[in-house]
This record gives sequence, C-alpha cells and structure tokens, in this order.
Amino acid sequence: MASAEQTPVTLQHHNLCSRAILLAGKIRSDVASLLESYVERQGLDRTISLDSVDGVPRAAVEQGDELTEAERLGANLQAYWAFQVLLGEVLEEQRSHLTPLDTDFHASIQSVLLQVAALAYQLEELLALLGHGRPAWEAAGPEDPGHRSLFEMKLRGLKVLQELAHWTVRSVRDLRQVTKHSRGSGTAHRGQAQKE
Amino acid sequence: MWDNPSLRCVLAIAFLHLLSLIYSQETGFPEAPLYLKCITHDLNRMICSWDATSSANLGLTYKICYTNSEPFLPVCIKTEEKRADIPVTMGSTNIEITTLNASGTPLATETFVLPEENVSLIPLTPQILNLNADFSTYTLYLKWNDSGSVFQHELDASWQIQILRKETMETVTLMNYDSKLTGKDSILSWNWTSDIPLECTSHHVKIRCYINDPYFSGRKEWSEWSPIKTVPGKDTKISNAVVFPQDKVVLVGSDVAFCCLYNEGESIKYMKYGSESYSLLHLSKWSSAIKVQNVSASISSGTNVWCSVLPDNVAGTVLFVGYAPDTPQNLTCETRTFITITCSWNSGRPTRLYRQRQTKYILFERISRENVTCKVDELNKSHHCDFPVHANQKIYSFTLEATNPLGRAESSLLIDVNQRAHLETPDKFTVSTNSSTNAHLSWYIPGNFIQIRLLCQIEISNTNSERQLQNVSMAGAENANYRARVDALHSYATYTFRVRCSASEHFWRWSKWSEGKKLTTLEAPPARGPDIWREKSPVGETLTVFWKPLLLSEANGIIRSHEVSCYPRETVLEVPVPLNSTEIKFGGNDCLISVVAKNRAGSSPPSRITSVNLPSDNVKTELAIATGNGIYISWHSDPNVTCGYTLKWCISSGSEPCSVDWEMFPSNATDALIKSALFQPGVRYNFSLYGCKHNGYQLLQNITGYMKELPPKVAPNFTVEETSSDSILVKWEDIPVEDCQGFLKGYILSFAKGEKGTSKTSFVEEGFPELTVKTITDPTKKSLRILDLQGKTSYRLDLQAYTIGGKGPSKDLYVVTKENSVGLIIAILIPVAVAVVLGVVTSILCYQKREWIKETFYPDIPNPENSKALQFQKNICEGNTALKTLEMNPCTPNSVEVVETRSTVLKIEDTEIISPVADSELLEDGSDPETGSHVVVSYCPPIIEEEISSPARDEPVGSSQIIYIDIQSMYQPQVNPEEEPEINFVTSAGYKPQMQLPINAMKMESHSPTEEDLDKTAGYRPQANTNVWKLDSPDSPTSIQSNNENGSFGSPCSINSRQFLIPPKDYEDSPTPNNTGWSFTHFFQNKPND
Repeated sequence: MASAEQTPVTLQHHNLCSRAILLAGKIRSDVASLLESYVERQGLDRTISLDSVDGVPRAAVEQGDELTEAERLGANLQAYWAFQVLLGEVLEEQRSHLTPLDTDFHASIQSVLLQVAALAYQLEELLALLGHGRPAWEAAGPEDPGHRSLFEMKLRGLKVLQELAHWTVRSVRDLRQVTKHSRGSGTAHRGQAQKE
Repeated sequence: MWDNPSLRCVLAIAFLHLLSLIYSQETGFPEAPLYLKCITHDLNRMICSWDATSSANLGLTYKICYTNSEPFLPVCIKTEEKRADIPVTMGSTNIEITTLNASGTPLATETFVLPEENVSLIPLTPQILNLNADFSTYTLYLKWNDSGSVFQHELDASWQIQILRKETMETVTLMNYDSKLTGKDSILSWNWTSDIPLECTSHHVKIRCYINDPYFSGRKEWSEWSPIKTVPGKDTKISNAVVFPQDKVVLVGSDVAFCCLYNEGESIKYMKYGSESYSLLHLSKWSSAIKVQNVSASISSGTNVWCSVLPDNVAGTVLFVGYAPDTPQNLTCETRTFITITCSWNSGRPTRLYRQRQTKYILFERISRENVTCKVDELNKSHHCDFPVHANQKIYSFTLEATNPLGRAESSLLIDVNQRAHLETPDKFTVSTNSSTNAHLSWYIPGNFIQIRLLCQIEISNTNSERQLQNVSMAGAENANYRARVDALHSYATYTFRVRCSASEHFWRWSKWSEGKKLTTLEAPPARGPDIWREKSPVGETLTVFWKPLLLSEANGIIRSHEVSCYPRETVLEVPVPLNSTEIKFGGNDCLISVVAKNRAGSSPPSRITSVNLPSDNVKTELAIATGNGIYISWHSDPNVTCGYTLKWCISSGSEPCSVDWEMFPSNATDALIKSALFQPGVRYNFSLYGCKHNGYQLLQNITGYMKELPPKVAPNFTVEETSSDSILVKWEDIPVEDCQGFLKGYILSFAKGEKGTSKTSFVEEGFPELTVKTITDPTKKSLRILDLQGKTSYRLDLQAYTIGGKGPSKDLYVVTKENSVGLIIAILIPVAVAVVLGVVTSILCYQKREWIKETFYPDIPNPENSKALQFQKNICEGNTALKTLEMNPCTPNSVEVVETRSTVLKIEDTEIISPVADSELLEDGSDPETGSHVVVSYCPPIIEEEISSPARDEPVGSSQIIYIDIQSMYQPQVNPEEEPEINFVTSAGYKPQMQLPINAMKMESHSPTEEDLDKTAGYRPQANTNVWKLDSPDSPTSIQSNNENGSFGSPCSINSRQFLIPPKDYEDSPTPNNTGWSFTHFFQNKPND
C-alpha cells in the first residue's frame, strides 16, 4: 500500500536502486569466486601484501555521513568506470601473458567486466533520475602497463578484484542509504505537495 | 719436467753454487753493491737491481760494465740508482758494478756473473680494456690486451682471471685462460656467466699473466694482478624493492638463484619460491638471495618468486620453467595445388611455454634461400606451414627450425614437388546418363597440374553393396573440370559413384573421396524370356501356362506384362504383372505355347514349350532324400529324352491352391538338389519328373520327399483288442501323412506294470525298472501281441512312431490282464478247508469239554421263578399283572428332598442315581460320603419291601429309600484299561439276564457263533421289553444312544436286585425267548440278506 502511494519517479528510483543493489550483490558473488580462481591460476597467496599496488580505486576511503547523495553515487560511478578499464587490462594481460589458454577463466573475467559496465550504467541512470550531474571521467592510473612486470600484473589483477569486491559492498550500502534518503524526501515531498 | 724432485734438488744445489760464485767477489766495503737481482718483462732487456751495505747514498754513482761473452767488449753505463737496464743475453752475463763517489773516485767494485737461470721472467701487468655485463644472461664479457708485441716471437701465455663478489670481496671463481702471443698486440676476450643475476650485487674482475718461454731457462713468474674492474649491481640506489631476475625462462631441472633488493631502512622478512620459503643468502647490505635447485615445470602463468620486505612491502618476479623445443617430428611437405607447398609436423614434447615464450618455427628453403615464419596454434600439437612453389623449381630442401628462449631444434626434408602431389577433394561432382549401360562423370579439382598427369579412381557401388573401382588417367590442367565415362553398367540399375585423384606417375597420396552421387541407368528390353511350364486340366479342355518372373538383372527394367500365345492359334493373351500364370482354352488341340516378357524398353525373346503330354504307364513313386536344406532327387537317365528334364512340384500354403514350381535340367542330368525358400521341414512334397522328348513331355516318375524329416507330430491311436491272463493284443491305426513329418520307420511299444492314475509322465522320464520295449520296424504292421504277462495285473502301454527325424510323442493305455481261474480256485478253497477243519476240531473239543465250559462260564443260577418272593412274570414289561415284584403299579411319586447337591453332579441328576455301590467305592477312595447328592426322585415304595431281604441289605441304604442302580455306573469302574478294547464285550458279558437269552440267541441265528462268542456278546439283558419302554415310558430318560440297540441302558425301570440272576440249568434250553432286545439275534435280524 505504501509503495502504491509513491510517485512514479520515486518508484522508478526505488526500482533502479533495487536493481543496482542486486547487481552489486551479484558482482560481489562472482568476484568472490573469481578471486578464488584467480589466486589459484596465478599461484598467488591471498595473504600477500598489495599495498604497493596503486592506481586502483580504494573502497575503504574514509567517508562520513557528510557526503551528499550525488557525491556518494558519483564516487561509485567513478570507481566502476575505473574498474571497467582495469578489468579490461587484467583480461588482456591474462590473455596475452599469463593464462593464454585458459579461455574459461577469461570468460569469467569478461562476465564480471560486463556486469561492472552494467552497474556503472545503472548508476548513471540513477544520477540522472535524481537530477545530479555526471561526474568527470578520471583517466586511468599513472602506470604504463607496458613496463609492468608479470608479477606486478598478477598483483595488480588481484588488487583490482579485491577492491572491486570491496566496492560492491560499499555500493550496496551507499545505494541503501540513497534509497532510504529518497524515501524520506519522497514522503516529505508528498507532504509538501499535499499542503500545496 | 719440474715435477721431478731429484732434478729440482740438483738445480737447487747448482743455484747455491752460483750464489757462492757471485758473492765470492765481495770486497767487504760498505759501499760495495750486494744482492744483484735481475728480472725481465720481455726477454729482451732485464732490470737488475742491487743493494749496498751502507745505507748512505750521498753522491754515490754506479758504473756498470757488463759483458756477455767473449770476444765482446764490456759495455759500461753509469747510473745514480741502484738499478740498471741491461740486455738479456744467452748464457751468463758478467756484470761489474763500481761504486763511485761524487768525485768519481771508485770506492768499491763488485763483479757478478749472472747466469740466465738467475733472471726472472715476470710479464708486464695486464690491463683490462673492457668489462661488460649482459644482465639478461648473467654474463660478464672481459677484454684485455695481451701485449704480444713485447715479445719478438710466439709464446704461450696463460691468464688468470679472478671474479669477486660481495662487500668482502669473496672470490667467486678463478679461471685460467691460455693464449698465444704472436709478437703483436692482440685483444683477448673471455666471458663468464654468473649463477646469480648480476643485478643482485657488484662483481669485480682482475687478471694477471704468465709467459711460458721454453727457451728461457730463468724463473718465470705470474705478473702482478691487473687493477680491478667492477660491474656494479643494482643493490644501491633503487626506488623500490625488486626481485631479480625478472620474468626469466629456464629449463626444467635448472638451478636458479633469485635476489631481492631493497632500500636502506628496509629489511627482508622472507623470500618464497612458489609457496615455499627458502633460506636467504646475504649478498650485500641491501641484497639477499635464494637458490632454488632442480626447478620443475611451471603453470602457464609462471611460478611466482617474491620477497616480503619489512616494514610493509613486497616485490616479486615470475619464473617460467619449461623445455627447449623438441625436434619437429614427422615433417612432411606436399602440395595440393602446385601453388604452395604445405609442410606439416608434430611439435613433439610440449615446452610448457606459451605466447611470448612459445616455440617459433621458421621454414627455410636452402635452394631458393627463402624462409617463411610459420604461425602455429599452440593448442594443437600438429602444425603446418605453407611455402610458395617456385616456377622451374622441382627440388626443395626444407629446414624447419624451432626456437624458444630455451633452445632450438630443427628438421630437414628434401622433396621433389612433383612427387608430393596430394590433390584437393574433387568438387562439383556430377553424374549423368543417357543410356542403359554407361554414365558420364564430371568433377573439378583446384590447382595447377599442367606438369603432371592425374590418376583418378571411380568407385561404383550398386544397391547390393557390390563395389567396383575403375581407374582413369588424364592430363592435368589448371583449375579445370575433369570428365570420365563409365561403361558396362547394368540396365535399370542404381549406382552410387565417387571419385578421388592423385598424381599418375609418382603416386603419393589419394585425395579424399568426393561426395557420392546416385544414378539409375535407363531400361533395356529383357535379356531373355521367362522360364515357363504348362499343365493341362484333367479334362483336357484348358491349359494353364506358368512362368517365372525374371531376375532384376535379366529384366533390365520393370516388367509390365507377359504376352502368351499358343501357336497355331491366333489368340495372344496379354497378362499383366504380377500374375505369373494364365489359362488357355485350347479345345483339346495341342499347340506350341510362347511367352514373352515386356517392359518399357521392349520385349524379351520368346520362351516356348509344347502342350503335348505323352502317355506314360507304370509310373513309380520314389522317395527323395532329405538333406536338411533341400531335397535330393535322382532318376534314371532316359535315352529318349532329348530336350531335358523338368521337375515339377507344387507347394501349398494354407487353404490357397498350391503354387506350381519347376526346374529344368539338361538331358544328361540324373539327379538334382531342389532348394526352395518355401520348403519347410517336416512337410511332404510331391514331385513329378517329366522328360522332354521330341514330340512332347512324358511323365517319367513321381517322387515324394521332405526337405528335412522331423519326428511324428502325433502318437498313433491304439487299442487293446484281446486280453488274457498272460497276453495282450494291441492294434493301432495309421498316422495321417501330414502328422508323420517324415517317412515312418516303425513303432516303439513300451510297457510296464502300472496302475492308472499313478503316473502321467513317460516311461523314459520315470525310468521304469521293469520297462519292456518292443520296436516294430515294419511301419505297415498294425498289431502286436504282448506275451508273458502276469495275470490280473495292470499294465501301462506306450506306443510311439518314429521317423529318421526321431521319435514322436507317445500315447499310453492301461490294461489289466485277466485273472488266472485255477489259482483263484486254489486261493479260495484252501482257506475254506482250513476254516472247516478248525471248526470241526473246535466243536469236538468243545463237546468234550462242555461240562467244564459250563462250570466255568455258566454256573447254575437259582431260578427266580422258584422263589416265592419273586413270582415274576417272564416279561415284566408286558404288563402281566401276575408279576408282583416288578409290577409297575401306578405309583404316586413321593417327594424326595435333596438335602445337598453338587453342581458337578447336576448333570446326571436326571439320568443317574447315586448308587450305594458307587458310594461305597467313593468311601474306599477316601471321598466324603456326606457330599453325595441327595436327589429327590420318584420311586415306588411298595416294591421295596420285598427287596429289603436281599443280600445287599447290609448296605447303608435308608429304609425309606429305594436305590436305582444305574447299570452303566455300576459297571464302569470294573473295566480295566487293559480290557478297554473289549469293553463292549465285557460290558455285555457282565450282567447275565435271568432269562435264557443265550439259548434264544442260538436258536435265532442260522449260523450262530460259538458259545464263547455268545458269552462275549451276551451283555446286559434288561428284564423288561425295551420296546415297551419306548412306547410306554415316555418319561424315561433318553440316552444319547437311544437309537441303538443298547438304548435300554439307563432305563428308569428299576431292578431290585443288584446280583446277576443266573437262570438254573434246567432253563438253559428253555425255548421261550421273549426278549429279542439288543442281542446278536437282533443284530443279525437287521441283515436279513445275510
């Protein structure tokens, strides 16, 4: 009954958020299994320190409640844009250098890459629906992949997947906050409309 | 030479002697030169130096004069130093050194004789010209000048190169390098490969020299070490921790060292190869290494090596471990189009290296000096590479080189391209025909085959899967269609064609088969006329003409109809298929029958047969022989048969009329094996053999036979015609022919004793021990007499027929032989005679012992009629009022009160009265008499008065009571268990009635038993007429046996006396048997017929 009282924009916004949350959850699940597969195929240890790897968006950046809805969504969108590029690089490195014959593994990375692209698109839509501007596109990291050693490629791939997993968690949380906030504002808006 | 110790000893002694000579000229002045020492670097000049006792050197100069040997004059030079450069001379040199003061006054002079042996050859210190490092291969390249121009002639030189590492300058290796000095300066080079990456730490190199002049007898010593040259490592000034070597490829089984370089302020925590930590080797302040031995093949992404650097850093590298390329195997080169040559090979052992590290193949052709780089799919083991065919080049010498970071391998092949033609699969294959016997084929092969001839193979398969190959040779062309024609095909036959080709002159390989194409040739007229036969009707008015359908190969198409004519009659019958016979009415006039088969293409040649049947007499019927798959028939040759024999038969199936079939044989044939798919085992077939004579056909013989004989299907029906006490005549019927399933060979009759219903199985199954089998080998015999049987015995007879195929089922019959009358008579007479004799003897004995018997069994009993108190009537139940004692006066029942009763005896209270005897017995048994029942019964008090005086009055019976004695109760206790089987007799023998019942019984029975029997059977005799009881005493209790003859037991009629009243002897023969109650007499009366 409550949803029936929502405006179409709010409903669409809510649906979009729900779909984005679902997709983020799905990405998280897929990335978790991909991480297992990645570590095994690269002969890596999950405990290896990845602090030296930079150029990957960090999900654990300190953020407070002071962030606005637009900033929150914009940060997410920028991160997934970056992950699109990073995952593409990881996929290419695996194809060209590390696991040239493992097509199934490549398909798994490709699948996550597509989902990340879809999530980024949904976030774009959400921002547009909420009337926020699209954040500026930030170029990829400073490192030249041509000079990266194979070990650095492996670490970088691991870092990308780990951070992507973290980002999906953060995105779910951010999207829930956005949903919660929009409900409140929707209710307030409806109240104002009734007064008018 | 110097190894000889004795020689060394001699030389040492000589050296000491020379020294003594040198110093023998010392003057003893302090300024005098001492200890002259000479060395040479180039064997041309030597530098001699000396010492002086005086350490002061104020203004002193030295004049050195040396002479080599006579006749040279001495050469003098002046010097202020204690050394002089003088030429090296052969042999010894006399050197005179004079010490001069500042004014030139000689102070002291010393003369030295310097032999060559005392001159030392010490080469000049070598200088490293260049030291380069190849970090990828861990190799140091060293260059230096050998300074060969110093020496005037060739000399052997040895070089010692020392590699040092670490901060402590530990010697890593010390290598010797030999060279020849040619009299000119030469740049020598040497390289060394490190076991650890050169980046790990700095490497230092120094070198020294040794000249070995065989003609110089002086001492030869190593030169001084050259100044050290250093290849600095990368363990200083690094921006971030790093592991060396980076992304290296090594062979499986190699020993590999890795080093981790880190910054100042950092320390290494551990270093891992794969997942395993290795012990660290300290190389420098900021460099540590591990050494991994015998590495195994890595996964496709390589094996990780990394170091964890404190406080929080990580660095790593990836090692790829694999194999050098294997020699390409099975290298073959062939051309399919003469445009390119395709070489294919097998890569052999996988290298385990991929992409940038995978094996690369280069195909090099030596004659044209061209090479091509081959693109290979690393997922496949077999690879191929194309090389262009050059005009005017037939011979190609290929070398296939395989290289990867770990090595190279190659294979070579020399071919003549014309002998390596492996054509492409023929394409656009078409088949056509416009004839009934040939076909045209066309196909296309891509490629330029102008230089060669082609050999193509055409496969022709018919519908019967028969395969035929036909080779066609043709000139090659460029990208052309090729054609061929195939002849000798069957008309109206369907074929499948395929084609493949190769080079004709130098066969190498066939191409693949083209796709198959089907073709059906056109129809042609039937090749021959059908096989025909004819039969006249019994009346002779009609003639039935039969023909056999042609084989497909003979029909040359689809037979549409058969045309039948009967010459000279004009009538022509057109019989459509599938009919294979027709009837012609020919009116008794014979004719020549002609049959023609017709298809779309035309008509067959006619088949002809005459209708004339020649008369035949005395035609015999012979039996054919079954072969299992056919019927073998033979006949006698008839010289009059000129145009062959015809064997005709008819096979019927079910209710349809039989289908006529026949076979024709030449005139010289005398036998035939007839086979037909329609023949069935066990079915009789009749054949007729006709001989073809010049004027007609004559029936020569009838034959009957089976394809395969089987056992008869049924058993013959048989009956027993006669039976006597020792023989049986058995007769049986013929088995119907259709049930015989073969020619009957006889019968088997089996018999044994057996009762009907005892067994249903056959004799053989049961294994009868007394089984007798009679085999009748004459199938025409229809009866058999079985002899030597036992009289009045049941026999079981089994009869079965048999053929060559086996025995048929059996049918059984039970018969009982008649009784033997003589034996029967004997069997009856003997027991009768014995019984009579025994009876007579018994009678005699009984007569002689009659007194004893009487005394024993029938003692005299007082006649109650003689007692006044007992003036009985003879039958108390006849209502004779004169009999007072037992008179049944109408009695007025008195009440008898039952004082106490037991529930257990309630059952008998209506039927049984407790008798005093029973009471007494109970007392004797210890039972309580007081518990006895006091039953109120009706009684007749007047009668009691007479009874009181009886001997039983001492019994405890109250005077007012009358005791009814239950006869059953009275006698039951007297029965012993041992006598139980005779209980009826004992019971009946216990009481002896007061009437002459035994006498009555004797009189009533016509064949009465003996007296003993009578005694046994003469039981209780009630003194009343039981009939009267039944009629007159409706109140009397009815026994459960009331319907039998002993129904009087339990009668309410009382008897005063409990003693047996034995009649007196005088009455024994009394002829007044009034009572016929339950005695034997009565028993026999119920069986009047007996």
